[in-house]
Amino acid sequence: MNLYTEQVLKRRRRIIAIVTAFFIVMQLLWVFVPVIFAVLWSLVDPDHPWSYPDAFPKSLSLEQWKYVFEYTNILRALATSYTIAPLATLLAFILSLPTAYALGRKKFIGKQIVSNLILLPIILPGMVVALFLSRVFSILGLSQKFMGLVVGHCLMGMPFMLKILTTSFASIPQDIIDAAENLGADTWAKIRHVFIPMVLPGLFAGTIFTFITSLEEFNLTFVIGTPSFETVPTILYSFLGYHFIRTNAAVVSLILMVPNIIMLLIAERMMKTDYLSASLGKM
Amino acid sequence: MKKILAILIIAIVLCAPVFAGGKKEAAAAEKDYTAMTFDQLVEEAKAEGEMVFYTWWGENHWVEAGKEFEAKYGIKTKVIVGDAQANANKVISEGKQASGTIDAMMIGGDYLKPVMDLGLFYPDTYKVLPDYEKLAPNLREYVEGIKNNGELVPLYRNQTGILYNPAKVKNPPQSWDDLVAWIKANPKRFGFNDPSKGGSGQSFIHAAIGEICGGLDKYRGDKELDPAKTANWNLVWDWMNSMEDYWTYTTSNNDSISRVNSGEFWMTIAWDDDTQVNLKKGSLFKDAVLYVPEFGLAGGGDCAGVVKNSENKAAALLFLHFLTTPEQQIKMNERIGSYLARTDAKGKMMLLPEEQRQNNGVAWIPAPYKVEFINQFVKNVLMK
Amino acid sequence: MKSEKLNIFLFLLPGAGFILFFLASAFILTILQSLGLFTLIGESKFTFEHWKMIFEQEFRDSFLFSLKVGIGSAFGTLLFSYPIALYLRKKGFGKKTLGSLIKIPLFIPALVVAFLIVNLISYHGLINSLLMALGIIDEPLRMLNDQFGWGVLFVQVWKNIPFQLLIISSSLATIRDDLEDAALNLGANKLQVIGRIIIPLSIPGILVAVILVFIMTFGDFAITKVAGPVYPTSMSVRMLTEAMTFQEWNRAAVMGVVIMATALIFVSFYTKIAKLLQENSK
Repeated sequence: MNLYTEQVLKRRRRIIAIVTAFFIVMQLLWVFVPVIFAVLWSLVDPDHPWSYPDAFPKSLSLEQWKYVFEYTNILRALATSYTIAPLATLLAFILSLPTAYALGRKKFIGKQIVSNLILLPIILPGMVVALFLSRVFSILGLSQKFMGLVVGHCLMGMPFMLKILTTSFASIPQDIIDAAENLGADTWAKIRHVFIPMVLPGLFAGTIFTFITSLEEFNLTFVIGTPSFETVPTILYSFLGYHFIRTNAAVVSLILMVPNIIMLLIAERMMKTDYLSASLGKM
Repeated sequence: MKKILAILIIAIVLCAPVFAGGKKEAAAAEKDYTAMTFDQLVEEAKAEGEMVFYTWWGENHWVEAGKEFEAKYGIKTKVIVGDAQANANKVISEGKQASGTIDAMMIGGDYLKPVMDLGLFYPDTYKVLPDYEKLAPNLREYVEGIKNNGELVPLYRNQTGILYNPAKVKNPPQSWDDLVAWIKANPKRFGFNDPSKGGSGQSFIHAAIGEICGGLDKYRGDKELDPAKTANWNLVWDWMNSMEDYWTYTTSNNDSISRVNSGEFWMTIAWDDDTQVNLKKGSLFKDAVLYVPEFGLAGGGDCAGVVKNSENKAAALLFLHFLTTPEQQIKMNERIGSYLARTDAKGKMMLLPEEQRQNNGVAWIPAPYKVEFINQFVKNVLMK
Repeated sequence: MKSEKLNIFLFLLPGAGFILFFLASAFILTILQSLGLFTLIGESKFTFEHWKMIFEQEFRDSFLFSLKVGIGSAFGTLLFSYPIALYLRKKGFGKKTLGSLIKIPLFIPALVVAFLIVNLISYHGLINSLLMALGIIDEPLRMLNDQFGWGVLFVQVWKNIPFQLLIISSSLATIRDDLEDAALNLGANKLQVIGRIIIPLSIPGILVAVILVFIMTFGDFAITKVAGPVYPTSMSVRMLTEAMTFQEWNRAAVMGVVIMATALIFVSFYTKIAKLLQENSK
């Protein structure tokens, strides 16, 4: 390689770095400006309202936070939410795996119908979920039970897990599998060296979506869970719904948002490979 | 094709339990609370030992009251603050079960009708509570125009009024004509919410019907809608369409208030209790003024009921009684600023002067008319 | 062959069977209610009467509004998410950080997103204040609850970019580098590689990303309620008004059936088109 191309490459890398840095700044604005406003609203001093034309609150206090912690069971709800979510995600993964495999790699009659019907949980309007699905749960004795909530959340998140895993299975090129077989790979070796690496990015996406669906699920949880179990959304909706109060809404929003963002950043740090750019070409 | 058939068959089999569950299950033999003395009711409530109360706002009061109730009677009390509409969904979806999870709940006018129509409340509440007669007489019969047959216990009264920014409005209008003139003189500085999304917007249309279509008295007492009496409502809709450029429709009671706070509106229609809450939370400037104009705006209140399929009815009845004792009513007024439902006690927090409430507060016309004007407003104003 | 069929059935059971077991009855009950059966309040009687509502203007307006928001959000988001996914495909300085930042909106519930954005676009919100300070406008713009639904579209795109990005990225990740390298060696330029190899191969991912966002936004309740126009409103919001305010439970059920049917029809139709596209490009 001569000096000239090396310089071109160097320049190109620098341009990419600058572009990326620019996007990072844009993204910080795009994401954090709205969040900063929520922080400001959550710190409004009840004695000094934040009104037009003040660009910022005149004085800040922790009153709104104290209020939410004092009069709601937000801490217990956080614990409940973050216990249900991983369990529901795990259950969704276990249940989805075989079905996604069949939908992704097998040919059979009625495949299109099945792959549409698995979308039902997200197609049903929230009101139908609250009125009818909750009845099914209570008839099955799953109402007011921790397991019931896990099953319910799993159900609502499964379309994401199933759809994405199906796509991942479907996009494994048959020649790789054939090649593995020609090399004498047994089933286990095939799973380890072909299926797992190829499905991993999809699995990661599906896991995230199921996890968040669980954290955000409201309609079903409210009917079959409360009063025995409160989750963060069941509390959030009382402040953001019919009786909307800006200051408390800001507090509850932040309580729900911040742990998620921290969790995401930690998870990203821990992921060894950068799955977004993970490529199997190097396999 | 076989697959579809198989799926259909499986689905129908799966539905069977829901259909079976659809039939009313026989409730366990019910105790007759109406025959009990108050002491017997307390005993019964203590024997039940626990109760769950659902509400949708003012959590600081209901949570504290729950603790005080628990301390007084030793009955474990859980207060759940949910969304008003979700609460209604929940009680409706549990309506057909032999026993539900809600013992008593607060219910607002916006969601009351379906719950009343389904007969989900314990009907004899008014016979059991010793102080029932001392509660606001108008609310014991109707809540926002919906008949409640004494099944509901009024917890507080509320009133809609005009909320304005005194820095911008020097002479707040008292007559309807003055209000209209002000709105025209200050385009886009007035707004009210879509009536299908909250009572304050309904109150404005209610007043417009009264002013434009010949008073509200002719509707009173009707159980069914009389089409002859709504025939001239098109006058209201025509007028509203002609005013479209002068005002803004908002999406909720609190949205109207927050637009006054953010400087977009100088005047709006708001509930007194919502105004009070926003003042307390720092989301409305302190010198905002609420008043009931002389032409009159609607008022009412919110009630709570004991749910029919509750297993802790005595405790629930006792809790509702407890909430309507003078001490608790006064505490409620201090904590959340609501106006007492009890007529023989007075609170200290007064957003609206007593005489404005008495003289300018108007009762809602019956529910069938209210539903009709909401519907017609959407068809004839919003859709245009 | 028989055992293969049984195998497939057993594979489908935990996933599809689980979903059908819980949801078939809700699905069927909604359809029956739309036909006047199993009515919550009042008499049950088989009738097509309630279905006449689909000819009403309010229904049409809500339906078209939801359709606009659904299609607009699904494809509008794609305009951002696909290029970002392509950009982030290869490793590079800061890209990991950027990837994490982009994902944040995913972890913020819809209601909260609506609340956050409303703070920005309200009459004296940040955007208006900035525009006024820069002297671009004299009077604040009324962007909240705008007639067209731009507010809703904005919130939906904000929320769904990372959603689609994740799906598309996971689909791009399965494309092997050797294909790309081979094409480059054969003298294809970068654009040709993207057009001929990467896009066709990532169609399944795009398909799923668009379908899922369409379904979620078509049936949206929370965001439309906070940031949407006063009229027309989305199917879900209208459905609730029918049920709760007007006690028209059967009409609400009709709307429920239409929401579900539209989603299913869109999915089938769109899948077919995407398949054709993929086959043509081969």
